[in-house]
Amino acid sequence: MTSEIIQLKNISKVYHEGGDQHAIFNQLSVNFIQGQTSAIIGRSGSGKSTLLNLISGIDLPTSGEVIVNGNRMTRLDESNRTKLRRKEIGFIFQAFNLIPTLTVLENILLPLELNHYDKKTDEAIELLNQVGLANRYNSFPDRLSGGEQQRIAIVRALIHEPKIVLADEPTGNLDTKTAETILQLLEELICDKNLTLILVTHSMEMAQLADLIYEVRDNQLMLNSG
Amino acid sequence: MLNQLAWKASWRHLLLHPWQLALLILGIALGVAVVVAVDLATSSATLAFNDAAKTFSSTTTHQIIDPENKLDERVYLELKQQYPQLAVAPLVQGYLSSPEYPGRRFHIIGIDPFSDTPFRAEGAALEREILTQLLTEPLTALATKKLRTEITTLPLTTGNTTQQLKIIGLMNEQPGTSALLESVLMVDIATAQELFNMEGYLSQIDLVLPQQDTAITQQIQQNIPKTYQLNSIQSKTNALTQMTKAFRINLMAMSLLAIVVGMFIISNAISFSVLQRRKIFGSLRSTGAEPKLILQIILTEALVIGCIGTFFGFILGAFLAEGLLTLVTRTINDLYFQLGTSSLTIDSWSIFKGVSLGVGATLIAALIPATEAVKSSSDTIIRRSSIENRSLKLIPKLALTGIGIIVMGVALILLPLDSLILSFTALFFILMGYALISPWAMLKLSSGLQSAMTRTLGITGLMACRSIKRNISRTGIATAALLIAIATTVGVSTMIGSFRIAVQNWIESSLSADLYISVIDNNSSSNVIDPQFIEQLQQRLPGITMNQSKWQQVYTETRPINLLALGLSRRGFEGFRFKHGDINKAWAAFNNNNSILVSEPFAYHHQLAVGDFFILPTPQAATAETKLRVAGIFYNYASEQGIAIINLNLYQQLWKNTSLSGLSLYLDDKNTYDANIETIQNLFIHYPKLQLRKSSEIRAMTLAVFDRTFAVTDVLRLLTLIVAIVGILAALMALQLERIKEIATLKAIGFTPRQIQFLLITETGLSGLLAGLLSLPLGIIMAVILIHEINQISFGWSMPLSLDPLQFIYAILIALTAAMIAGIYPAKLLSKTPTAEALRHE
Repeated sequence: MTSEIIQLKNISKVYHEGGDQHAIFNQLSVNFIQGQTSAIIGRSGSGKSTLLNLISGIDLPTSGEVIVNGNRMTRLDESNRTKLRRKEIGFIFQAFNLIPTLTVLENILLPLELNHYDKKTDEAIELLNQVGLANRYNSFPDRLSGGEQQRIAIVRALIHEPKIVLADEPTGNLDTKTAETILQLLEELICDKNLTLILVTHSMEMAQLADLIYEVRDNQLMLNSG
Repeated sequence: MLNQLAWKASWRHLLLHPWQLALLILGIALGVAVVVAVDLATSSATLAFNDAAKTFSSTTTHQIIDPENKLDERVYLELKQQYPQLAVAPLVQGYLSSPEYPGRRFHIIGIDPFSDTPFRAEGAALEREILTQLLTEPLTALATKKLRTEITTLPLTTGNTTQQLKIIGLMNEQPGTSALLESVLMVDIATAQELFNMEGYLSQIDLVLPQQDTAITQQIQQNIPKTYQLNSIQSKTNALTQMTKAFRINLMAMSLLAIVVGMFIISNAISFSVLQRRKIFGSLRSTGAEPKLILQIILTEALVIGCIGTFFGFILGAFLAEGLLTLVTRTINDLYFQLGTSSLTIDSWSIFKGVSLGVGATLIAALIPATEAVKSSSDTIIRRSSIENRSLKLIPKLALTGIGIIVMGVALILLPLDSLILSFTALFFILMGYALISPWAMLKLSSGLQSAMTRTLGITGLMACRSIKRNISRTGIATAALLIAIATTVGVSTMIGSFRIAVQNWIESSLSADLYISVIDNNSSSNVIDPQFIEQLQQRLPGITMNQSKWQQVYTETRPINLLALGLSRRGFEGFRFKHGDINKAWAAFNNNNSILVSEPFAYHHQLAVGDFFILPTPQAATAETKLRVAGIFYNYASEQGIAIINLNLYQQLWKNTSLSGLSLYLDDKNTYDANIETIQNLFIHYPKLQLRKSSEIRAMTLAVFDRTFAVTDVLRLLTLIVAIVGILAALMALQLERIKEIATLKAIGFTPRQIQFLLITETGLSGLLAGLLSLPLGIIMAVILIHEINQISFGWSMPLSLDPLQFIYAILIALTAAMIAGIYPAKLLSKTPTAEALRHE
């Protein structure tokens, strides 16, 4: 039995720039199934990142409704959207976005602390071990390479066992070899966890790893059957 | 083409961030404003101060005065007859207030227009019609052009009545003297005598004596009555300069402190602005821009921004200076003499200092990060972590340099030289040294607090502690400025507090009598208590314990001496607290009429110790003097020049004068207390020039003058503090705005807007708290130096250091609040910034 963990209903998103209006989405409706991996592709500026922002409640649609795990995101205030996001969603950014004042371990434990979960330091170390960075747990992010930082960001996104992981071009800032390692790692970490992964990417090779591939085109999300 | 675009890239960043540009300009403007304000106010007051001694006596070489203010006008006529070849002019002067100008006192100068011409240009070259009117019509006056345009008749309060003074013409205003003459009215001598009830008497006789001819000076001295004094103007000017030296140096020190804080703020603002654009400069370098071009861009920008900031700083500084000047003038009036209204004088030196600070400090501040940007590879310019790493490596070196500078400061203090300049230099060294150590201390303290903060505030506490280390390159200088300003608050407040307690204790012990009777001093007539009054008082209150006193100013070539002759009961004597000398021995010596008691400042200025001999000039002859042994040195905070006390019997023998200027009475019987006061007040009806004050009133008045004296210091301190607060506000705001993406990430991970606000305010609050905590040791060190070095050298006063824990809590709260306020706006702004947009921010 499949369950729809994310539902986007008649979503429109319009940006205003000066006097001009720029529509990103127009009456977009799409559902994402729990445990599925979806890749979102499209040209630059088409709205791929905006889609992730709408799903996570970081941004709100101009009209329409976003439902995440049964919660109507669009009807929540910012504080409650944040609480929902920190519980249900893990975020991986293109530029890693680790907190510079926290060590590797502290960055990983941050979502647990925010959710008032017990700190699973051992589990965090274990995860670090899996990503090959156990010996760097006490380092600050600026001491790590890009690939290392992204591995930490992935662990941070997964530590609190969210139902959804949103990855915004996670390999965009990395060289090909490191990108492959990161992808492999992502696959390993999410397998058997029944996680919903939505992956924004430019790379068709990376997109091929997903169950479904969507393309943002003409203000809509088209299922790429090819 | 690249050059043009390179300039544009840098400039556009500033223009695209108008708030940051505005904060940068504000930082510079405030730094300049406070320095210019302090400088203009002090230089204007000093100018007025110096000129006040010389006004209306530009050619006078000597003056004849009567310390009793009863200089017989016949002496003038005799001098004119005896020395027709000499320029001699009589003068009657004093101060009166007007109901039309509350709070302002007018300096009335009565001259003889015919004999006055060689002395004062102001009354010279009058039109015949005006001159006739001035001489023949009573209550007519000459005024400045400005005053005359305001009024034609000026009501003046003289005793219980009001007299109308008609302004009939203009004084001959000399260039640059208008401000000094603002409250001056020139009248005929007869009008002045009428106004001050001095018919037949003069305030002084001015003379121009040939410099080489000392014989004529001695001759005049011998010919005038013994109680009169012939003083040279030079000695009067010297005395004024001596009297005001410490006050002026103290003001100058406050101005220097403002410069230090101002420089710190400007440095922080400009270096931050350069650091923020490191990406632009790095990219330009990558694209092929030569280091020279980057340097040119940064320095030209600094020059332009420095000029704009300096311009606004001048405008703001001039406004602030007006307010400061009023306070400075009031203090001078309270402590030294009537200065009238001083006007703001903008001198080229103040302008030079303001421009040097505004533009110079901006350029120097820009030079350091600019050189860094030029030296480094394009990659390291872009990476913020490399900047922070460099800063962290630099901090221990700065701390070591700071320790070296502090050691130099301490060495200067330990030098056995009583130099005020040297003491202030030492204080400045210690301040600067401490400021250099402060970033290292901040790091150590924040690390020390980390576990406690984490336990208390969780991840927020941890992040706040770490933010100190991470942002040290951005906020270190501003925090050091805040630290110095808060330390100054602690140091100066502790000094004032200790001083106040010492003064309070001194008044408590010295005002042992219940009532004090003196003559209302309006500088116009004798300050002698009518002997008939004393007789009547003794008749009506027989057996009452009474102390008698007589003030006498004695002029010497170097400084005037405040001599107090006292007829004291043993009880009155016990009011003295001796710093050196035994009270019983001093009492015996005092009654033996061969000794003198001196106050602490007096002993300091005249280099006297118990047992030394002091030569007191006496009026017996021009060269007469009496040798008196110092029997004791007592605490006294009434005069920074100090006072000397002799027995009243001795004074009466030496001066051949039995008049009294003050009485103090003991009303021991509480049952007759009110009745006795009523008796005295009934007697007063016949003696309107006498005043009766209870000891409680004198206590309150003394403390009120004390508080007024330090009002200017308080304002300067407050101004410096405001600059520092605005500085840290600008630095922290700019820093938080720079962290827009980091904050957005926190929001994306799950920080609620409220948590974000809490985090940012905790971070800024922690900076303030640490600055506050670190300011306390420096504040106490400052207080010790101010009390035991600077006060001692300036005034000769000693006092115990009184530490007030409330002052310390207050200082920490100021620092904490200032920094938290600085965090509120960016916290609100950043918590509301759309996260999606902020995540895209570069």
